[in-house]
Amino acid sequence: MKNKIFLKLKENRWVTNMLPILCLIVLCIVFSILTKGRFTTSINLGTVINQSLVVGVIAIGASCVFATGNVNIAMGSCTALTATLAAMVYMKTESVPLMFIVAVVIGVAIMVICAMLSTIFRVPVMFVTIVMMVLLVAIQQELLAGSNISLPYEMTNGLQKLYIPYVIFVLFLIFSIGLFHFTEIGRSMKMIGANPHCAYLTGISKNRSLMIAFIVAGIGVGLGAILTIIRTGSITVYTNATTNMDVMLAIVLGGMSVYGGSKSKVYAGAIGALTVTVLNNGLLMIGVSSTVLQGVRGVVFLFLVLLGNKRSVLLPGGR
Amino acid sequence: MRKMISFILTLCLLGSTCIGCGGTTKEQESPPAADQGTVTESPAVTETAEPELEPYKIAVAFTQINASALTEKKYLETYVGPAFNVEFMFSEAIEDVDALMTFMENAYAAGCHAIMNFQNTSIEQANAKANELGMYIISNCPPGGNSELPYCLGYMRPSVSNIADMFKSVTKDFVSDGKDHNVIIVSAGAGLGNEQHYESTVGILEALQEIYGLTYDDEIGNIAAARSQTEVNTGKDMKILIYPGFPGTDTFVSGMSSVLQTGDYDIVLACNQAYTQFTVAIDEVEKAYGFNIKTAAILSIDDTTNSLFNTTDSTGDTSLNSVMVLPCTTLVGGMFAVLYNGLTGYADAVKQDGAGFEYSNPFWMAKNADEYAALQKIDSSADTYELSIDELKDMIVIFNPEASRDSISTKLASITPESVIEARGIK
Repeated sequence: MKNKIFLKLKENRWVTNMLPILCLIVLCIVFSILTKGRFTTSINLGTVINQSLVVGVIAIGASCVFATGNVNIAMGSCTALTATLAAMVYMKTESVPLMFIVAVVIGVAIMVICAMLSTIFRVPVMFVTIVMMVLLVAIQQELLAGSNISLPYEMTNGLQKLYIPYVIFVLFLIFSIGLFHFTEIGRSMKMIGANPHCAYLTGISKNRSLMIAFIVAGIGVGLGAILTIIRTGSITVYTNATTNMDVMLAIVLGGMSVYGGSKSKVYAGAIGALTVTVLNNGLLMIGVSSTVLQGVRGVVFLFLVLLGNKRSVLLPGGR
Repeated sequence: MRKMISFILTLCLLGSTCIGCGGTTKEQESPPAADQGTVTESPAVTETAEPELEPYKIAVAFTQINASALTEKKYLETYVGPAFNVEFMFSEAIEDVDALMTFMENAYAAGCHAIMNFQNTSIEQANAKANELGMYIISNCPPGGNSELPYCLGYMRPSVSNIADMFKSVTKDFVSDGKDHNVIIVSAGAGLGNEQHYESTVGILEALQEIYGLTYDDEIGNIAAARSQTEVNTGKDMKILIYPGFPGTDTFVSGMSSVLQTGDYDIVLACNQAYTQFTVAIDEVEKAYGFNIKTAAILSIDDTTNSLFNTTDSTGDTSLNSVMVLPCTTLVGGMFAVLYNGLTGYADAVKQDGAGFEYSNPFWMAKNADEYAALQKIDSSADTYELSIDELKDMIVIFNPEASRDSISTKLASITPESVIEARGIK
């Protein structure tokens, strides 16, 4: 009986949609109480949002790929290489618009290559992205040749003052929500993740949907690269080294299953990124040391993956 | 089963959160106002007894957690902190600027008033962020472009000229036996703009040129800045190989191993800490060819270096012949003194015409196991730290009204292995 109630709750649409947001709100309230209101000062909340923008943008795009039931682990290295190339273009041309265009184009191009390798050679996306991750890291290291690219502070500061990172994040979020939740394209991605066989029988082209998912992910990577440049002003071989893990953690914490499917939500990445940042920020404010923090993050991730990530079976034949 | 595991993990999560809370009962200080340019004026120093110490919190952003970092952490946390009523918040190994920005923001949120920054990339960004947050900052790197910001207190970094002279001296010692030698110079980042590595490589090349009367086919500076493995044309039957790069790249160790296994080289001079990656390869070559390979490197005072000096190789010589180390507690002690002056309202004492404090920390050298044994005793306990509490107070205005930028530099420059050994009674 208890099992039934638990399952009902777990599968309930409102619970799955609202739980991550409620968790985020509860965390904010708890940390605000523990820090006697310092957590919810405007400066600190601004800091939290700022810290979550890069991972949030990339996670929003990556959600489309995850929704199709595939795992993309080349996001971090793709973002790093894209940021490197965009920074190099800026250093040569001193053109901010060109830097933006190059970042998005390269991000999309790399993701499209991943999609093509998967669809044409029928290699699972995860294996393709493992190989691409190694390749992209090698290319970036070769381009940097052990040195760093330091961008002019005036440029990055100027873009910060114009709230460009916030504008990019909000616009991309609106675009992705519209595409994923209100169009046939998004429904196709979810159907493929839920049951590829039924999707095929319904006439949904897996290759087309996967390609579109990777294009959206590529846009997210390109925008993430720009946000990285604006935030750090410097590109090194360690840039975006942990982004991949952070994105996956964000997606899971945001309430989306890594197996994708019908319950996928493109805004899960944004909520998850905020949740991770709130956890980091709040725990440090109450005195948890940096070393313990890493352990806490790992435990939280494992806990959530074990608890809620069974693929829901949609019609017979689903994996 | 899954629920049980989830339940256990939840308990672990709660437990680790409680353990990690630190148990401090100290009220967290509110961070100072984050207005740019609002720095408190220096209060007048009156001749009184020991001043009452206001509690402060200082963040420390390490780039690597190695033996030196652990010594520095222990020095600050257990020795300096209690004496000055200062709490320290240490980072994990910060490898990139994004992690540094995040750490600075979180440190500010956690109540930190200042930061010691060991990350040396994008220093302008770090200074600007610190200034925006209202946190004093001092960095372990060459000066950046916006040092005039009110919260930027300056820079302390390893001395470039001192290390170049040391490598010259070591090179001369190694080749002064009148025999021919072939040398590998591990130039690390000399070709990528790393001043320390570049000057060290130049120093070695100059020393070899002087002793052997070599004629290089290019400027010494250009040779030192080689970005790939380069056999130097010496004009004589002598081999010098420039070997750039860093550990972490796939072919760095294997490439060096291949070079050593030719049996052509009998001196290895490493301008960074990469030497420990080659010890096995060097030992194998010594065994195979039956000759000794003399080595010198920049390392830390730790168990690895201790082992290298106290291990004899197959030729009966020590595995390491000379070492250059950076005195770690002098560095962080000096950085602390500068920051503390800023926190107590005496930023003007360390800045001059708006420019931040600058100091280049000289390396210490040990040319044999005995000299290294003496160095190793320094910083091993509270009685043997390079900078004592009294010496720190000498550099802080509220304890010593005469303290100034120049007196701090003079004090730091006076810290040598001999002075520390004598002052602490180390035997």
